[in-house]
Amino acid sequence: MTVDYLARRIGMFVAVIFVATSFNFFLPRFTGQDPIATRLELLAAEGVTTRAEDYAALIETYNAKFGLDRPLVLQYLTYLSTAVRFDFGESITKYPTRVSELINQAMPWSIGLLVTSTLLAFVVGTLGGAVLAWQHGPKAAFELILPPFFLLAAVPYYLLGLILIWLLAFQAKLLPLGGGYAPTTLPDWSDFGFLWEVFKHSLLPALSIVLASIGFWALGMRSMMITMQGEDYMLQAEAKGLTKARAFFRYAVRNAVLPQTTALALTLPHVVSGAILVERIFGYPGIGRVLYEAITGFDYFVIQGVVFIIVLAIAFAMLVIDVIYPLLDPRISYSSA
Amino acid sequence: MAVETTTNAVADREQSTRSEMPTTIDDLRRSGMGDSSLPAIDVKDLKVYYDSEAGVVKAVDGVSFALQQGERLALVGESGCGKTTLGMALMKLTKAPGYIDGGQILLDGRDLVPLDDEEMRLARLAEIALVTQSAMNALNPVMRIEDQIFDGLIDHGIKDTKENLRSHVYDLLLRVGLRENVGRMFPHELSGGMKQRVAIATGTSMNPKVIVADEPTSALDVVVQRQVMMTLSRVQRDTGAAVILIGHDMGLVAQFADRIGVMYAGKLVDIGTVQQIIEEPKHPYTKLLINSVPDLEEKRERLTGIPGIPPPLVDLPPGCVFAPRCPSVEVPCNELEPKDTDIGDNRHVMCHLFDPDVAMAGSEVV
Repeated sequence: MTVDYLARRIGMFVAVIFVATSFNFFLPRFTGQDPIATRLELLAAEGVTTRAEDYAALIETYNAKFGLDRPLVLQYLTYLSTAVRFDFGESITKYPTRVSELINQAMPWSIGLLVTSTLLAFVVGTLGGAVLAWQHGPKAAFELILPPFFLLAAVPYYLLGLILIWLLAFQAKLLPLGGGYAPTTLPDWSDFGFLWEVFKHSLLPALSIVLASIGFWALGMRSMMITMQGEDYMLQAEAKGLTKARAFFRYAVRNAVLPQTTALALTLPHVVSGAILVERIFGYPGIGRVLYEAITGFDYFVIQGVVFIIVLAIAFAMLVIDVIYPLLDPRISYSSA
Repeated sequence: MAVETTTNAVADREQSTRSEMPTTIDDLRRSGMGDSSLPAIDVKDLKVYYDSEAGVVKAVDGVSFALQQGERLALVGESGCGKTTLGMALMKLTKAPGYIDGGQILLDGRDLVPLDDEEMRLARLAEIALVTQSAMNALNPVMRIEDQIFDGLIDHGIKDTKENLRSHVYDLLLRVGLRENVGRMFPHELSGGMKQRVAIATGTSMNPKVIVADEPTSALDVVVQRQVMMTLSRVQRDTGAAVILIGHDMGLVAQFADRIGVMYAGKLVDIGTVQQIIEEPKHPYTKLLINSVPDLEEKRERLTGIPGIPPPLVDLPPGCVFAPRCPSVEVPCNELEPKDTDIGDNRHVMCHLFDPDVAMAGSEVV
């Protein structure tokens, strides 16, 4: 039953989000760090000093303002009821900016960079790996091109990012050192010059992700394709007199891509965590940087908001994969557990 | 309409001896069996060798036989005797490090050996089809049965409506004893016997002149084996194709075939009608092989096997390949390679005992 299957998957989806967001609520609070004190320390570091006798009163005011003086259970219930409406309150470190505003600003940057570069690496790597294993294809060219990518796959992409910055931005001065756009330009999404600026700034971080992950996808696909070519249906495809293109795409790649799809679903969480490092290194104004800054400042509300969105995105991606997988592989039926 | 306009690239490749390629299901249904005066398949001195570190492995070494239209030949022999290698070579599906070293495969008069990849691709399925050993896994698990049969048709230039293609597939399925709705099913929804029937339906989808059936029942239980063989038999009668059945089950093979060819160490050592082979085996190896088949009526204490093992196919010693295991071995056997000898009634034996030019004490030349 498809309805039954969908209901179960959606139930799972809700359960995962509930558990993950609850963890996300309690974990920062159990560290013992006080976000208000951290905030005041940051202010002090900027030269805003407070008289000692006012200090306690200030903390109390702040706590009341952010509702941090209430019992933990009440805070938790408020958090749950507001989170479902995507309302995460105001940022502590960037008061009075609302958390949702921070997320709205950062999200398009991250999605644009990460989704594009991950999918690009997936498609290029998978196809490259497939051709590399295909005896009848333009194998020789790929035998020269792909092995360096296998090497790069072993290099973490933040490290690769640093190397790229040094080579292409610092030494060769071909691309900007970091940021989402040059600090001297005004963000105007209708201006072609600005879009070009954004594209140039995204090249290095995208390149570091793509270069580091093409090899991973190519290796996985290559070994699957080698297994597939030993299958009897590949011999049968040849005995049926199929064209090479049809045997390649409809028989070999079609079957070999199934485990790749699973791997893509499993890689998504790593994409998010990896993004934190990449965005930090490249000073990219994405969600990873927002999260990084929130964690260093113990900004509970921003952490809650960003992690909630990330959890939602991953759980949703998993749900999509779960729903489309039976369409990709008829042996997986909607009815089985 | 399409028959008159086959001046496309596909037709250009075809030699003048071939009729136009069918482009619709109707053409396919009307396509006849070609020139009946020629053998459907005439294999001459075919050699399939493998390069290995130990030397050249002569997996198939100088095999010759001819099959008339609608004739059914069974190839039998021990594991490793080269019967599957021969079957694959007939389809030109020999994989490296294997290669066809020489000989001819005349299909309705046209030699397949010199054909290029694209010409051979078009010949497969349309003229010579394979029903494989493990039909269990011969179907693409992610495609519906009918789509897998369509693929073969489409890649051989059949351009027709979905309805016509589908009705053709339904006819094929009905002919092998399956219901129409099997076309819409996926391979994992079928039983082993059903998959094997689908393999037969696929193999006969373009009315080939020759069907190579490589142990089509080896993965099935005995009851289903018989049903599948009867299906193959019926389809063969319907289409008039010549069938080369590769197997090692003498009983099963004898029920199906008109003629039996016995292979040993890459050579076709004995070939004759089923009756000739079973009732009066000539080659000493055939005699031993027949003796090792259990008989339902006759009570025997123990089945006789054949002592020894087949020789490695690298660096074969001079003389007869069977000599080391042969009960009738004599001096010439270890020195002189036996030739293919026609002993009458289209019966061929490769043994000095039947060669009038070789002096043997036990000679059976009359």
